[in-house]
Order: sequence, then structure tokens, then C-alpha cells
Amino acid sequence: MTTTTDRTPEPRADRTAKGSGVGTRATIGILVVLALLAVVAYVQGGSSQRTGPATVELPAQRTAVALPLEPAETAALRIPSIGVDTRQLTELGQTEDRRLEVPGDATTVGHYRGGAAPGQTGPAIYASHVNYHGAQGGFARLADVAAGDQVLVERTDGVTVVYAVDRVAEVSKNAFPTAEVYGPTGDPALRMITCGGDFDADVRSYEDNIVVFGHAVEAYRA
Amino acid sequence: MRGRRSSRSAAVVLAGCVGLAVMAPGLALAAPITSATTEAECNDAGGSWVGGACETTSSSTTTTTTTTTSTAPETDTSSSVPSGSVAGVTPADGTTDAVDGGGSATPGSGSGQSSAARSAATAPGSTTGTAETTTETTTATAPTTTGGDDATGAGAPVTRAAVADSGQQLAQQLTTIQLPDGTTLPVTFEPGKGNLPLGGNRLTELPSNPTAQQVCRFFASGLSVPDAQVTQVSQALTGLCDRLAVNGTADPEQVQQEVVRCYHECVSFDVRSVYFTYWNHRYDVDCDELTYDEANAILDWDRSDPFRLDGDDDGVACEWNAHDDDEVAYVHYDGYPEGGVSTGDGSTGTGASDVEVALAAGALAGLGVTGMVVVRRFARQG
Repeated sequence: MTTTTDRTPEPRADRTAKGSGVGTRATIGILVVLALLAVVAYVQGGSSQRTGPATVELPAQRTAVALPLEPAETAALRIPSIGVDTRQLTELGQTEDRRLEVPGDATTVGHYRGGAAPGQTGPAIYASHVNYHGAQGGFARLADVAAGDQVLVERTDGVTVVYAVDRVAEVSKNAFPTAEVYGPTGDPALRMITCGGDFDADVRSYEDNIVVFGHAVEAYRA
Repeated sequence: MRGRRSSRSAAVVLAGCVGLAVMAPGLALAAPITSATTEAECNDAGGSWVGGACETTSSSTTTTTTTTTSTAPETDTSSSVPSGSVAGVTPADGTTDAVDGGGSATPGSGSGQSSAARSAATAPGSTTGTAETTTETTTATAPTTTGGDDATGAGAPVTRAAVADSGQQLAQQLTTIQLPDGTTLPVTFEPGKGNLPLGGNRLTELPSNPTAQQVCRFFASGLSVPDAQVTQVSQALTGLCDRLAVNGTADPEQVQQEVVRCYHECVSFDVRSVYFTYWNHRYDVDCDELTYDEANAILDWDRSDPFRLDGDDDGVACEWNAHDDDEVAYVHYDGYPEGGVSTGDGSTGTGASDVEVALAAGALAGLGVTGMVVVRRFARQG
């Protein structure tokens, strides 16, 4: 009896110890995997963040409008591939040191009034922050735009201009291609600018700019 | 606008030179009858008294003008203007723009090239030329230019071959139009095979008895211009053709002149063209052709001053144009912004998403807990 009595608790203790060991190992394994995933995601944080289709269906009943257009202000800007759809817009000029003004908050997109209006011959130039005062900017994902992506600019006169992205460039702020970005073009063109590249904490500024180059494909009234 | 006209004076002089060269035969015919010193003598001599001088009225002395319409209030009795000339149009509203160095040497001819060209584009009902030959085919909106000595004749049948020939002449005339630097742009004509999109209004086959609009579109559809000019020429000619008569039978010579004027203004007076052509041809412009703002915009654009607009190297271009107060109808050109754009303060790091940040934080916390468990376990075993 004694033997039986003595033997009985031992397997329970073993099972408990074994079960605890398996559970701990499983927990550790899961957490390690999660940690690795987190590290990978963190490292690849700058990789593609495309959140939508490159192009969207245009209204079937739209009425085509011939390009180029007369000047009109921008009412809305959409970049389906990165989920930008904003009516938060402003007009930009130049600062005293002749740099392009930037919007006063993170998410507003600015249109440079010294360039072309959307659909007008010349480059229509838009700029927005990648991040600002702790918030993600209006163009936070601009670097993820790719050639062929669609950009739709709605004007205050009701005309929507459809642009196609030609290329996305990361350019040094110290060697900014001024004429290429702001210079005249023979057709209605598009430029979208934000910051990119490495962040220089000493001067609290990114070293590069991301510039999206595009051209107008069509214009229509819905 | 005074500044605008002034700034174009140099181009007007150039255009005037071209116009004079082409107008020479017409001027010879229209030379003042020097022996006539009074209006009565002039009339007796078969001429017309214009601006204190007696001029002939072309080979036709018939003055039965049956063409006047409500949109052509004034007949400009200047020298006859052969086709291809770009001078001598009285704006339909009767205004006369005096431009320094105007291209016409004939008094009272409305020598303002710039305004003339513009009025031609906006008011095709204007009346040009002086040989008051009978024209029976004009309509309410058709240009009523009589065409001078070489007019094709009122009511003459318009054959396709004749229009095609006229198109060839048109291309030759357009090729002779000089840019401000004296260069020309090659233009060719081949029916239906031009390179202008014309907003879909191309016309490759000319119907019999075509209207002015059809002739215009036929001409435009056969013209091939340099790629750099395609867009703006297409737009200009589309606008011109849209404004021309849609009924009646056209006078190809007349339409030809309208196209020449339109093209001339298009390639010579559009500042966008100046900028754009610079990029393609690197030709020269000078202060007479630019406003103060435009000149300084170019200087700002390229501080090496490729056009020598800042002769005294004081950093300001074309100072003597400083008081121009031009209304520019197209993109206002302030000069380019400089350098990169400060669109980020690094406040959200590398751009990792909220989900990624939460995942990373969770995983780090989990690793911490796991580490504590492992340490306690070894402590117990120890």
C-alpha cells in the first residue's frame, strides 16, 4: 500500500513538470517568432505600403474635356495606389529665401501657384509632408507610388484631370533638379514632392526629396 | 496691355520686314499717285484718297462693295495685301493699335502687328485690303478680306486642286515666318497627312464648294509642324477654324491669310512658346520681347544669363521694362523655387505603420516576460 501510495503522486508531479516545460517552450517559441516578425516588419518598414489599386475605374458616363485646360484651382487630389484622397488643399508660394513653401500641417497638400494649374500646359506641382509634428503626412507613402499609377485631380470647375505616373525619383536636396521639376513642359504635367531618404537629426531634415513625375492622360466632367 | 504691345515691338519689326518683302508687288501697285495733291484730283485719277495720299485701288476700279456685313464695320483702305502678308488688318471693333516699329509702311494701314494678329484670331469678320472688288460669297461670320490683286475672284468655283495648291503655298509662307531670332520653322503640307491633332476636327477630303471652316480644317489637317509646336499650333488653328464661316463658299486665299496670321501669332508671340522653344532650339530673346517680370524670371531660371538680359550684371534684367504692368493671360511666371523642399521633420521615424509599431512593442514585451520566466525557472532549479 505504502508503495502504491508513494508511487501515485510521482507521475502527477512528472506530468505537471513535463506539461509546464512544454507550455513554456511553446510560449517562448511563439514569442520568438513574433519578435522575429516584428523585427522583419520594422526593418522593412520603408518597403511597399501600397494600399490600393494602381488605377480606378473612371465614370462610364463621363464627358471628355480637351486638354490643356484654362486655369482653375484644385478641389481634390486622389492617389488610389497609396490611399490618398484629400480635399485638404492649399496654395503654396515661395519663402523669402526662394524655397517652395510647405503646408502648415502634416496632412494638407499644397499646390504651387507659380506653376501650372491642373490640366494646364506645364507642370502642376503638389507638395506635402512625409511626417510633421508627430503625425504622418499627406504624402507619407509617396515613395511607394509606381510608374503607371493613376493620380486624379479634381478642379474647382468640376473638371477632373487624370494623370499617369511616369517615374518616381529620390533626389538629393543638395542637387535638386530644379528645371526638371519646375521647368516648362509641352503638355500638362504633374509633379508631387515630399521628403525621403535618410533623416539628418542634427538639422532635423531629410537629406532627399521624393519627386513623382507624371503627365495628363485625359480630363473629364462626371 | 500697352506694355504687352511695347514688348512685342521687336517681333513686330521682324514681322513687318517679312510682310514688306511679301507686300512689295502690292505696294508697287498701290503706290501713291504723286501728281494728285487733292482728293478731287485723286478721284479723277482713279485712285482713292487715304491719309493725305492718293492710292490706286488695284486693277479693278469697280467699287461695288456688296460684302459689308454687320460684323465688318470698317473697311481699311490701305495698300492691297497679297496673300501671305501678315500686316494691315483693322480690328473688327474699329480700334487701331499703334505699335512702335509697326510692320506696315503705309499710312492708315493699322500697322499694329500684334494687335492685328490678335484681332484676326478673335474677329474673323474684320475687313482687310483695299481693292474693293465685288465679293458675293461672304456670310455673316466669314472674313470679308478681298485679297487684293491676286484674289481668286468673287464666286469663282473652288476646286479641290486649287485648294491643295493653296495649301502648298500656305506651307511655304509659314516656313518663311521668322522667330524672334530670325530662324524659321519648317512646315509642310500634304492633304490629310499633317501632324496636328486638331481636337478630332481633321478634314482629309474637301467637299465641293467648301465653306471657310472646311477649307481651314483641310489646310490644318495637311500641315506638319515641328513637334515642339504641334500642341500650340493645333490649338490655335482649331480655334481659328471653329470661328470661320460654316456656310457659303470659301475663298481659299482668304482662309490662307487667316491661317498665316494665326500661325504667326502662335509661334512668335506666345511667351510659353518662347520658353519652350528655348529648351529645344536655344534661340535668343531680348528685352524688347519680354516684360520685366518675364525677363527676370528667365534670369532667375538661369543665372548664367544665356540671353544677356542683364547687360550691366547688377542682377536685374531689363530694368527699363520695370514699369510694365502687363496682364499675362497664361501661367504667371515667378521664377523657380530653389533647392529641395522641407516636407518632413522626422517626427514619425522611418515611416513604420502603427500596426508594425504595436507588433514590435508587443513582441519586445513578450520577450521580456519570457526572459523573466526562464530566469525564475533556472533559479528554482538552482
